[in-house]
Amino acid sequence: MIFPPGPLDPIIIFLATLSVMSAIIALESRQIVYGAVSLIVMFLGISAIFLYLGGLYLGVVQLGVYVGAIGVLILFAVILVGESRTPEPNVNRIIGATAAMIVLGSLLVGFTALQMLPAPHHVGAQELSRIASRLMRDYGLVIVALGSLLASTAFGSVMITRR
Amino acid sequence: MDAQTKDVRDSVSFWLIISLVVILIIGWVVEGDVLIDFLVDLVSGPQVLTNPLFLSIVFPGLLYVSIVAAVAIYVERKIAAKIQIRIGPQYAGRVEGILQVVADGIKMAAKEFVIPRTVDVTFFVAAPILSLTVGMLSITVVPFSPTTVIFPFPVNLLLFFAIVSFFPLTALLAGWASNNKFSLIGAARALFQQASYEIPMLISALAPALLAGSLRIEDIVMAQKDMPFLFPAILSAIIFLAAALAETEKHPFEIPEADSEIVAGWMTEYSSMPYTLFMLAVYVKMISLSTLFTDLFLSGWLGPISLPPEAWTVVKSWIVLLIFLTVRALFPRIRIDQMLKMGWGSMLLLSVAGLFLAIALGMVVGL
Repeated sequence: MIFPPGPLDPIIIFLATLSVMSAIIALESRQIVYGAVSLIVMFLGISAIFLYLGGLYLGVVQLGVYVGAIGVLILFAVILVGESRTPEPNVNRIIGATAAMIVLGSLLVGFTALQMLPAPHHVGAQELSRIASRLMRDYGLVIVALGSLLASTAFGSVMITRR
Repeated sequence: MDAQTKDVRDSVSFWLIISLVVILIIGWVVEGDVLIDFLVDLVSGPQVLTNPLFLSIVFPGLLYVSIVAAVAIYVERKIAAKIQIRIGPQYAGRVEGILQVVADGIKMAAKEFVIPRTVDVTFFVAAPILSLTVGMLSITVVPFSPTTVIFPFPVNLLLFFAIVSFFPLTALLAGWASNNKFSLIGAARALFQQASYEIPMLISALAPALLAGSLRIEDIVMAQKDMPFLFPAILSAIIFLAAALAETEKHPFEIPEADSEIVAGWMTEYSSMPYTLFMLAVYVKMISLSTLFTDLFLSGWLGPISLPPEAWTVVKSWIVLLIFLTVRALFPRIRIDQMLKMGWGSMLLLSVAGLFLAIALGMVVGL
């Protein structure tokens, strides 16, 4: 490897540019099928970043779940529904761009603040199992409550769409 | 030649050259000078067998896969003909029509790639290339021996299934871009079929992974030193074979292409080399699935007599491939509702049952 992985790694820059560009195309494309395909390209770019940075499980799951399942289902739905994209009014677009810039700015500020903190020590398998046991023992009730909330939301959305 | 066809052909070759240059640059950035390494290894002898360029181009990459696919097409025709009391290929090459595949290849390459006026040209041209790319990607993660694997990856079983899940995408794109009712119906059928049979296949592949305690195919093979997982995980193996047949859209699961119902399904509008690419992609997928079956259930490169490990994998995977090709000739096509009912009903239940059976039998025989 000629360039060490880092923020100025050309491969990371290429993948990040690819993801952002295809996300923009996904939103702005006139033909809705092209939008769906560029959404899939964005998922591919993100999983490539995960794989390149060594997050193997995360990258593979991103590939299998987002590209292989969600992306294909979105594409299928889009193809079945047909092309009926309504042009959005300009005001919403400006608001959206402003919100995106605010989120980006706060993320950048957050990351620079994180870099000033001392580096976190390595999280070993023991600590992971301790976190897991604390989650299941001390916060078990909270997790069950959150899970049932999530399930009821899913059922609710199904009921709303069936109406 | 139509002006549109010529433009597209020129732009396709242009983009192919551009993408080759991009791949070479990326390869140079990531891996250093690949070509020089290959030449050095080639001079030094057997070391070349593990060179990445050799692995991806000769064995088990492009050359091996293309030759096996060609042989498989010929054998499939002959077997189907013998079983159904027909003659099969007879004239090309004089002896039993042995050069029929070559003749078909030349015929396909010589034909014009017809692009109808109403298609979406970008995806119509991109879909066959994408399809073969995904097929080739699936063979890169399957190990033929501990050293003979194009892309060594720690969780390659999961990666294989992630790659296999891209196939419906190419069928959908081809079916939509063709702008034809038969193509769209075929694409929808392909999506239904492949999405519903991926889940039983993944669950039945989990049985050997659980018995070996690893998601790395190399570890799964090494765990079969004493006994192939075919015996404890027999139900999972049968389900895996059936689901793999459904994945490759062969009889009795030839529903997306059903000739007598929807012409040729999502490939209706394709002709010439793009059609060949689709066919090659199907056979590449079949080869990678049979090799994966060999690794998961038939103890991969381990064998009773000391042969080169790759030879064991290759021979076993050919036997599995032969089973695929024989089943194709034996059964008629089932209906789409029967296929869906079987996929989401009995196959799913049986795959879960097979998982438990494999664990129980594995505990009995002390794996």
